[in-house]
Amino acid sequence: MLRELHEVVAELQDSVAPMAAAAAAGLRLAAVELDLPLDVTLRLRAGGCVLLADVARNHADAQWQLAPSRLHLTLAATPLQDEA
Amino acid sequence: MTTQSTAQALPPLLQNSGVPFDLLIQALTEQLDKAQASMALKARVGKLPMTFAVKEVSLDLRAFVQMVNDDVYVRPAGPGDAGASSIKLALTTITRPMIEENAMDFQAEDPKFSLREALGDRISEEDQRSLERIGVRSVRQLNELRQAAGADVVARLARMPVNRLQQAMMAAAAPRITRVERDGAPAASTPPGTRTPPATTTPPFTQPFPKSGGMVPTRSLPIVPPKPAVAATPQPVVAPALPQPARLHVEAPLLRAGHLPLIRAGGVPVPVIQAVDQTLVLQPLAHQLGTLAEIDFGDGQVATMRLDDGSIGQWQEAGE
Repeated sequence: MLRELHEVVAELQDSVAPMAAAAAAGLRLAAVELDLPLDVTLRLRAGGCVLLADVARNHADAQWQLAPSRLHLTLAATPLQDEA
Repeated sequence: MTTQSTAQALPPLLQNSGVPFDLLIQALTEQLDKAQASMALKARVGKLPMTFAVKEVSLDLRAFVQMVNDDVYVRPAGPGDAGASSIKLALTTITRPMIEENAMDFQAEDPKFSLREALGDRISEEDQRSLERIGVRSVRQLNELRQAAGADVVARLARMPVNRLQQAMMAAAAPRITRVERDGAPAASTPPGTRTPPATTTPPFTQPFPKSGGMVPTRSLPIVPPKPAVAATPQPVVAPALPQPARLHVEAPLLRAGHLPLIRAGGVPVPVIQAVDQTLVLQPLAHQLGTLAEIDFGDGQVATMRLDDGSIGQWQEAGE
């Protein structure tokens, strides 16, 4: 089942977010680069065009793409400023 | 499953050809904006010292590309589709000044001077699309292009026949009134319809009849109107509101430096109070407002134009 792309990106970011806490233990990850196969489709919804996508997890839901699209995502460690 | 769900969601044209390319880009950027927003929210709530932000995103999209009515349509490859093209889309974060530098000028154009509105039937939809494809959306842009490049070059770029483009350019170069400026009304006069009639203190003049009810003599002393019971206070004389002088700003692309066009309306010259670049400021007489004026730019280029807001001139045929 394909989801909106932002949900996929947010989930990927969630998966590396705990590494930010590891910085306190002396290990600092500067950036993460992901290169993943992606099933993509477009759907008209609510008067607009929505990009649905998801990573291919296994052969069962890989849609049998002969050459799937690929998503390259670079997540960089960014210090958060204390707003207080 | 993708094919089936797509087939349910997309009309036949989009099933076969996909969606316009700009719609795809819009859908993609919308998704990334949503992702950024949710990540920012999580970082704020989590109160972490650092987070992982999306620095770069690129999508290597396997898709079929097709041209429909001169627009690029893209359909992502589905299961079993072979021979799809590969479109590499790389997106990165840019700042507001970068957006403003690279975006087209969205300066508010008066919609009544859009190509369609200003040229009306003198330009076909196909020609309008041809011009829009090279970035010309208003008569002002068309006039600028005419001066900068000339009809031949523009015709080649827009892939339009030169004669049709020249006709469109001539129509676009017609003078047009962009603004009517009026001075504020004087204090003595008020807008029509809101003016209240002055209070009448003098009773209507009546012939005094004798209370006895006898005949009124046909010859009598001169009739003197009775004095009012209450002394009338002097009322200010309210003069009828005179038409205020109006200044008409006329965009005249054919205006040449050092050559003022001859403008006449109702057989009388229309005063020109300013001529800067391609704009004339006229101050017509009261009786000339709303009438047809004739503007002679010289070289046989004569246009008629109603002296009214938003009016667009019409070129006179040679020999008229």
